[in-house]
Order: sequence, then structure tokens, then C-alpha cells
Amino acid sequence: MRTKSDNTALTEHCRDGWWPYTPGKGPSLEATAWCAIACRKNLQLAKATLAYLTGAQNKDGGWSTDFYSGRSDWTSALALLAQRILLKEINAAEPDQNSTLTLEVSRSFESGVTFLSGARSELYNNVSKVILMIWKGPDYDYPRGWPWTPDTFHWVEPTSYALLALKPTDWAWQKPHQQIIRQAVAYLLQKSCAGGGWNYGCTTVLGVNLEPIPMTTCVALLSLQDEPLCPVIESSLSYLKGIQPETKTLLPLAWSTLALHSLGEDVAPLLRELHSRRNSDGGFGDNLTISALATIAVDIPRMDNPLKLK
Amino acid sequence: MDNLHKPSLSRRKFLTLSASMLSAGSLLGGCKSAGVGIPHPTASQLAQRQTKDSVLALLSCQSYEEDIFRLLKPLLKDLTLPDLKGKSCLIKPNMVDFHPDKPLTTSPSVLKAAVELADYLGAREIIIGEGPAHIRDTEFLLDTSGVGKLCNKLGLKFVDLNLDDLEKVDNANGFSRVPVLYLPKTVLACDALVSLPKLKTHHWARVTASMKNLFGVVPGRKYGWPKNLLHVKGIDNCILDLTLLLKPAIEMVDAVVAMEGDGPLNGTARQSHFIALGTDPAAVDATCARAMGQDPEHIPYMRVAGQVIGNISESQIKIKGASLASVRQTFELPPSFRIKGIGENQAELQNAIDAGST
Repeated sequence: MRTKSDNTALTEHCRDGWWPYTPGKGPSLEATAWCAIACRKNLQLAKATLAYLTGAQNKDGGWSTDFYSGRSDWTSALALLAQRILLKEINAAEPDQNSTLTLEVSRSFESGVTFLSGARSELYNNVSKVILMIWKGPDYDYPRGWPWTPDTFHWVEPTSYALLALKPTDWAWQKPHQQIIRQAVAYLLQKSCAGGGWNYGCTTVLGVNLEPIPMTTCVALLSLQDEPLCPVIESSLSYLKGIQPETKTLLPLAWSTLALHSLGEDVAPLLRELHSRRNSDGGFGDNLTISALATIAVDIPRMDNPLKLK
Repeated sequence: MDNLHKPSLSRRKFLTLSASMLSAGSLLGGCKSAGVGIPHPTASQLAQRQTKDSVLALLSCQSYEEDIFRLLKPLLKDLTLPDLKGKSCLIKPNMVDFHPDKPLTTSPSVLKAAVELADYLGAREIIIGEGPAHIRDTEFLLDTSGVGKLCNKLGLKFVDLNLDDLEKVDNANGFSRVPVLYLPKTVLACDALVSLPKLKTHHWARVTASMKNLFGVVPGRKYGWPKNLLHVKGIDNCILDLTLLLKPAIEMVDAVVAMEGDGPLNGTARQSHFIALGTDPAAVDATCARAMGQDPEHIPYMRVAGQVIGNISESQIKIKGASLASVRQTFELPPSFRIKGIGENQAELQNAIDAGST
């Protein structure tokens, strides 16, 4: 018999280590990452997902939204995030038993990090870079984040995922890479909406201030949780707390729980709301990404918050 | 006299402007047609154009409380609508975003009429599909737009096109120079696509109707939220490519309450009291543009649509139902089409960098 806490609603949709966005569909890297993280205590599934991720990795080290969908994209950050969290879980549960797996995943992870560090949006050509260097000085960390898909602009969500994937790694602390993190943080801080919060990454259009969106605010706050408090983070946190009474849909409820918890806020009311939305099979509906995020959130008291950076 | 001694641009402002222009030039360097120019149509593109005259209906409709399909029905016999007997039909409304005070999305009343029309034409299966451009919380948009409630009431399946399985589509002959596009399988598998937009002004494309509505078909899981590639490769080019690739079978434009000014997101409501229905997207959109007081020949993507998709010339479009004159108004244009001068150009460049709205 299923119980609400055994995550059967997610595990039953796993196929060879991957999940679809909705039951019966093809692989989704995003759904795979979040579902695997939600089911991380199931070591057999965790190993299957790590094997899937290694097999689905493109030659350039990145991942695509599904294996047959062209160039590596934003989902590379989610694949790295899942690899890091799953490997940590397996190694904690089975120390000394997984050296081959650890080696393979570490190689894949390094290759993914190399891809991600070179996959940022390129904002300036060489002439512009020289002008910028003269104008602002050689150490100027101009805001620069990650795109959804190659050769396009940087945006809040993919930049936040990249920070969540990279920040806790040794890589991020190596001196040449610190600038990549700093520039991404600068990008997020610059793209905050007037009054706090983030939308997809556009603060104004034709002089009109655009509104923040709960989900992107949560993702950005999660990626900035280890940064020193500053007016942008404070106002965004205020915005997020302020909208909770009107937040009714599952996606922002799940993200809000994860983000507010990572910032040390009380999430008990959100957890109660999420529990009340849980189906008898333990899941949260047919959108498996949302179901996984909600599962990760409701499992915080029982396990931990895997998106917490400190 | 004093003004003669004042520099029109300070050094700081000049540097700012130069850097902005260089950076924008850099960003857009890989896509020379970005919102500026559309490549000349090739012979194969020109050959795709519908050659016979187009027939469409304009329905006068005072409010969403009306029984829209009942009003439309007498006009259907004059239109050459496709036979949908035994076919699957995907209806694509506009659910781009939500603002409590702005008419951003297709009304559920118009969606209901489109469902009744598809049923009347014999459709075996009717699916509602949309891939909202900015907000990933589709549950929220289904609630706030009223589309979710209607789908539940009518027992219709809704497909989030942002998350659908993908299929690779050859676009080697497209205007955008994007050689392949990855599009939702559900859309490619359906027998008939119905484009069901909200009529709005658009700050980059000037007018958004049935062709621009197809941006919502492009999957976020591949191209992101917003679907930035479509802006980077030129909005006009991508509108044309998507229309040529997807070939909507029916277009039904919700212009009962439309949007003017800084559309498609920050404009204001305009009571325009009509619905347009047809099978030639170029003709339907050109007629809607005229109903807004716009000349489709002055809208780059519509002008080219008149060469490669269908008719935009008034002489080749037969209108049934209400006359164009009876629904024509003069919509306020977005600020981007009202401003000129270097300062404003800088603002446009900055917005091109932001490129954040559809």
C-alpha cells in the first residue's frame, strides 16, 4: 500500500533513470533532475539516474532538454545539480562502495562544469570589451549570466540554476572562476524589479516597470542565499513573503517553501498548504516537475533542503 | 543664444550611448535581420502563397456575454472553412501573461465559440494548447484567464505546449535562418490548427493577431521563458516562418475587447466589438490591422505575408458580415512607433538587449 511519503507517485513514472514532464511522454532533463532529487533516498533510482545523465551527456559536456533536441542548453545546470546531490546521497549511504560510479560521475560532472562555464551569453565584442576596460577598469565585473539556449541573451532562471549548480563546488572557489560567479551575481542583482523580486529578467520595457514573478523570485533568491544581505535581496524577500497569502498554485508554493526555508524563514504555513494539496498517491498531479518540487519541499522536515547552499 | 553653447550630449551621455550602441550591435551582430529587415522571399517561399481571393467574416459582437457561435453561424456558409470530419483539431488561444486590469488573453467566451465551431465542422478530437511566454505557472494562467474552467466544463484536454515532447522541423528555407526548429509533437500531429489570438498592438511588431499568436506554440523547454531566440532571430522573420511551417487552418481573432497603446502587455483596453474569422492568416491579420487604423503594407511582416502566405490587399479580401468601415477605429500605437531621435533610439537599443516581451 502506498503512503504519502514513499514518493510512489514519482517513482512509478521513472523509465531507465529518466522522467517525462507528464506521464507517458518522452524524457525531460528538467523533470528528470527534479524527480531524481525528490527521490534521492532511493539509491537504486539515484544510480539509474546518474547512469542516464552520463549517457545523455552531449559531446560538448552539456545536456539538452531531451537527448534528441539539438545543442546543449539551460538544462545542463540542472543535470549538474542532480549529479551533485545524488552522488552526495549515494556516497553518504554507501561509503567505500561506489568508487567506479564516483569516478564516472565526477568525470561527467567536470565535463559539464567546463561546458557551463563557457556557455554564458556573450554580451560584448572585442571592441566593446576594450572600451569597457578603459571606461570601467580591468577588474570591472560586468553583469553576465546564462541563456536558455545558445547565442541568446542571459536570463534570471538559467543564471540562477547555474549558480545553484556551481556555487557549492570546488570549481567555484578556484580563482579564475570566481569572476564567473561574481558576474552572474551582479547580473541577478541588476535585474531585480523596482520594489523587489525578479521576473524572467526584464525590468522595464519602454519606460514601464515590469512586475516580478513569484517563481523566478524564488529561484533567484535561492541562488543568492549565501550572498551578503543587501537592499535587493531584502526587498525581494519582503516581496516574496508579502505575496504568500495570495499564492495558491503549486509551482510558486513549492518554490516559495524551498526559497524561504533556505533563507531561514518560517515555512510551516506553506508546508501545511502543500500537505493539504497532496493527492492520496503522495503526488501532486500530472506535471511531474511540479510534483517533484512540491515533494522536495514537503520532505524538508523529514530530510533536508537539498537546495540549501550553506 | 545660450543654447548654442550647451552641448547637446554630455561626454558621459555620449560614452553611455556609444557603449550601448556597440553592445547592442554586438548582441545583435549574429542576427542582422533582428526586427529590422526581412530577407527577400525566395522563389520557393513565393510559391507557397495562396493565389485565390480570400473570404473572411467580421462579426459585430458587443460583449462576451453574447452567444458568439450562434451569431457566427449564419456567416459560416459564405466561408470556405475546412471539413474537420474525423480530424483532430488543436485550438491555440493567447494566454501570454496575466494582469488583473488588462486584456492580455483570449476570452473564454471566444474560445468556447471556437470549440463549438470545430465541433460543428465535425472535429473528432478538440485539444486546447498554449505555451505561455513568460510565466511558467500554467496552472495560474489557466485559472486567471478562465481557460482552465472552460476546459473543465467542456471536458477538453489542455496541453502545455512549453512542456510537450519535441519534434525536429526543417526550416532551412525560412526567413529567420534558423535551420531547424523543435516544435511540440501535439501541434505537428494535429490535423487542423486554429489560431485564436487576442487583437493587440505590439511594441516591436506593431500588431499582434493570428500569425504572431503562433509564438505561443514554440516550446519553452527548448527556447526558454521568454522565447528569446524568436526575438534574436527577428520577430518578423519568425512570425513568417512559424506561419509557413504550421499553416493554421482557421484563424479567429478576439477583438471584442482589444488592446491599444503599449501592447502586448502594458497597453489599455479598447472596446472594438468584433471577431474576425477566416482561413487565410495574412488576410485576417491585414483586415484586423485595418480595423485598428493601420495599413498592413506598413507592417513589415504583413507586407511579406502578402507575398508568401496570402492576401493583404483589400481588393483580394471579401468580407462577409459586418463591414470593415463599421468596425474600424484608430488605435493608439505603442510608444516605440511614436518616438524618433537619438535618445529614444538608445531606449530601443536597450530594450532590444532586454528583449523581454512578446
